[in-house]
Amino acid sequence: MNELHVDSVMKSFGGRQVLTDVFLSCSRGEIIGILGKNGAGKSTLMKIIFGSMQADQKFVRIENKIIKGLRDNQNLVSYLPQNHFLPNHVKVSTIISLFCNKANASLLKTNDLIRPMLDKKTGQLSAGEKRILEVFLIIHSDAKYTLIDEPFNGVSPIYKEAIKNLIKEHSKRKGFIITDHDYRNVLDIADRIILIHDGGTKEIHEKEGLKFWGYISENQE
Amino acid sequence: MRQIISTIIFYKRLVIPALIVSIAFGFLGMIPPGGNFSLKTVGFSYFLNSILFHYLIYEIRHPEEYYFYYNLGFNKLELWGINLFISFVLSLIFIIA
Repeated sequence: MNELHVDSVMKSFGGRQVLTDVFLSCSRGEIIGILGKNGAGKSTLMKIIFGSMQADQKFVRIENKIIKGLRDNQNLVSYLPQNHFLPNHVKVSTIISLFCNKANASLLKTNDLIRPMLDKKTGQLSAGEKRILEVFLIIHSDAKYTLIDEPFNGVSPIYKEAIKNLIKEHSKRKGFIITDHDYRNVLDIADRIILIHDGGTKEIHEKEGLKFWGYISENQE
Repeated sequence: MRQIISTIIFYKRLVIPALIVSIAFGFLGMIPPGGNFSLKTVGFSYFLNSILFHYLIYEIRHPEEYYFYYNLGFNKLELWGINLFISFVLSLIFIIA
């Protein structure tokens, strides 16, 4: 079964229940968009799926393998966190070779956006360049499922298009779960939209659903 | 190979500050009259400093960097284990030398 399956996720912080009733599935070839207000638990859910955060309760299964922690998800899930995660003292070309197989590494090294960065260390890149590199690395990683938290944050509009096209292209062979406050970009590429509301997940079929659950206002497009 | 390069990248960040402070401790042995530079002191303090710098650099200053290693297949416990093992071996070399 080519599917990432998540259910029964419960997580609280200091007595406040953030996630209570989460059900989520993502097949290879599918892009799932997760939306929710600030503090709704989007990043928390991603970290729990990835295995870097302990949940009070969870069930995560990836293609018949039950994921209990980071050790179990090797080559199955990659995760782009909200903040910059690349060490500053390493050359871009070295990082690419670490993250990608040979074919993807050479693909990435010849990319017009990445090529000018190759001989630099990540500490020499601007915040925007670093974000583009991080997004591209995660998308090109060997993992079968990729979790992406705020890929469009701090990225110029023209590069947002490049990121969207790349995710679309790679979604043919892997599953993506993506979240971003720039919901229009998420709506553009997602096959399904899941809204986190009051700790639970609601599948949204039309934009009106986002208004109904109070994620966007009535007059927002 | 990937694991070895990742380990080198991870440990490289710790080795220079830990070594500088440890060598400084080694020179402290020269302060009393007739005192000498002590490699033994360097060795002992290197082990403790590597733990201290791991905590300061990875836990306090750059906790997001853990995600770099998580994506490469390591977990936090393994990274602490790697630090303790390499630092113990290097400390032993200083102490025995």
